[in-house]
Amino acid sequence: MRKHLTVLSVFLLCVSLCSELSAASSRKKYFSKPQIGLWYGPITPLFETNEHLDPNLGGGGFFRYNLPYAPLKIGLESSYQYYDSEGVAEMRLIPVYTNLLWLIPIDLPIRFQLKAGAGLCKVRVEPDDINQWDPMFMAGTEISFPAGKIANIALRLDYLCVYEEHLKGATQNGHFFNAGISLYFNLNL
Amino acid sequence: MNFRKIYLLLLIIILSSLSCGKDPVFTEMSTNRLTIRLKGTFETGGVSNFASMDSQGVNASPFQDDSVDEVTAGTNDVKPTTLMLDIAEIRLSGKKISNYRQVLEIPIGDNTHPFFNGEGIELKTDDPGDGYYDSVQFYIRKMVFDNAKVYQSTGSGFVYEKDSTVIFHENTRNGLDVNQLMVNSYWDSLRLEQSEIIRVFPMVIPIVGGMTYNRENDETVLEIRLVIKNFIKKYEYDYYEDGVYKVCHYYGPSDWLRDVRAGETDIGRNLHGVARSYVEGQTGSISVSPGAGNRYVVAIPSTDDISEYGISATGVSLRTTVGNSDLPLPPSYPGAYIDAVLDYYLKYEKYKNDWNTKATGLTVDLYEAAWDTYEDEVHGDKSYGLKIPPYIGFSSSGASVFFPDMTPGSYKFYYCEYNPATTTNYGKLFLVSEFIILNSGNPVNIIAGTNAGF
Repeated sequence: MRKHLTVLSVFLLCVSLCSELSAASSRKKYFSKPQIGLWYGPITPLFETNEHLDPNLGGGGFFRYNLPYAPLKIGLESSYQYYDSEGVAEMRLIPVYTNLLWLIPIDLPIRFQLKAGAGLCKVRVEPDDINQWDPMFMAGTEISFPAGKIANIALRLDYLCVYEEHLKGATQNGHFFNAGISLYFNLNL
Repeated sequence: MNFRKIYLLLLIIILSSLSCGKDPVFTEMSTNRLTIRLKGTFETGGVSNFASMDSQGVNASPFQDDSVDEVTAGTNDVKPTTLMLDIAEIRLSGKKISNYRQVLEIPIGDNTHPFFNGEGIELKTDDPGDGYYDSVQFYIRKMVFDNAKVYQSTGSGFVYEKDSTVIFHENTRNGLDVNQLMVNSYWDSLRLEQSEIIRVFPMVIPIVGGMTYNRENDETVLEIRLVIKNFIKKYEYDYYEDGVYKVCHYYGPSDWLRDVRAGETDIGRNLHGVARSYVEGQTGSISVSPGAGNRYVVAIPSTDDISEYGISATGVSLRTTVGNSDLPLPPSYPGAYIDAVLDYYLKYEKYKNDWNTKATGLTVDLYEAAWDTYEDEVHGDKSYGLKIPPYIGFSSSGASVFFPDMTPGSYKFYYCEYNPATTTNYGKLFLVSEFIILNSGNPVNIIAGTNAGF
């Protein structure tokens, strides 16, 4: 019985994908609209930052607007990220950045976007009691597909670098990886 | 919406990045600038010069406290050899700086161990924020001295039954956790929250002179000293197990301050501690010649009064001032032995008579006032208990005492006569009247990088 259900599920998925392929042109239209959305998922420190902070779950929101050149969009993003540690140290990040998104021109039912951006990151550290803004850079990718006419679902993978090496005495930057499932909506602006 | 607005927003964000923070937080996270060192001696540096525990008889006063009354000659008693500490958390003026579980097993007889040789055990901690801190909250989850022995009643006496065991660091160990008994007799037991009171959870320790932490300094040292070495006594804990009356002989800090009397199971807040702080590379030093004889030399900030560092009379004397409010304790029921039970009822009649005699004219207000007065005498400033001087050195036969690593500032110096060979000095600290001022009462300025002396 279980085997039959699995075969049926795969079949329905294939049918669904085929029907999505036939609707590729209409999806392209959706992509050309401004979008607003939310994401939620695992966040983790990388490299040397990983030695001091533990992974957690985080989330954020974003807004994207079209540019005259169709495969490109500009986005404004922010999120809230809280990292605990083995000890009493804890860090809160609020990255605020703009990024440029490039839709890879491959006409598939699933869309691939690459993105890169820069901005500022609010960094709060306890018990050191440090609260400041640092410059930051990001790069990432997003795999998305439409879920109806107004909604889209995506898997996003972002790398964030909170840059501090320009500061006196600094030997390290902050490195973070954000993965998340996002839900975003097409706007008729 | 037009594109210009978005470009403008982007421009604002980039421009505002020019006024970013100045602290390299990620580098700071991998840097440890605060060092906490834990010591177990009365002395600031070096080994203990108190009258030695080794030369005390295990069943003899003063090592055996006068509260040991059921089994005064424990046939199987041996002195403790290991101190086990389970440290849960450390805070500075209420701010949590360490929640690393740190389990220490310290050989009590080893004077070369960092806990007893003046070096100190380095505890794991995170750095606090810049600021001024005046106290340490030291959360001791368990404090166990080994070699605790259980004796059980036979109706006509007591026989050794077994070693007392305790769960320490998830293992069954021989010993008794004295933390649970560090409550104030008669006082904490009357509180609604009595079951939650342990006077060393946290143990509030003053940082004498305070600690100004600045992350610009490469290393700030916080030294915490607990008075343990040669300050241990034997006590007796009475309990029933399956209807059989038993006593446990165990070890804990001396009751010199809060006297523990016969029949009492609480041993009060008798763990004394002090903390001091200095910045590595920004300290001065001094050599003090206190005069002939064996003397303890102490230094305290000149703004402090020496009366903060001692009590006016011995703990035993202070306890007597409680007067009628120090009511007698009922005898312990000896279990199912007819002769012993008959004795018990006789003792109980006497107890009732004694209690009624003492309680005559006693009111709740009088009771409270009497114990308040006692608490004021032994409680010390800001709940610290007895304050221990931050700098203590021992001069043997008139030798000079050297204090390295002193925080710059003005200090007053005192000495106390003390002969380590005098057995009766065991387990005692100093009364205020025993501190005698040095250097004609003139404070000495300690300046960073220089060595003073008198």
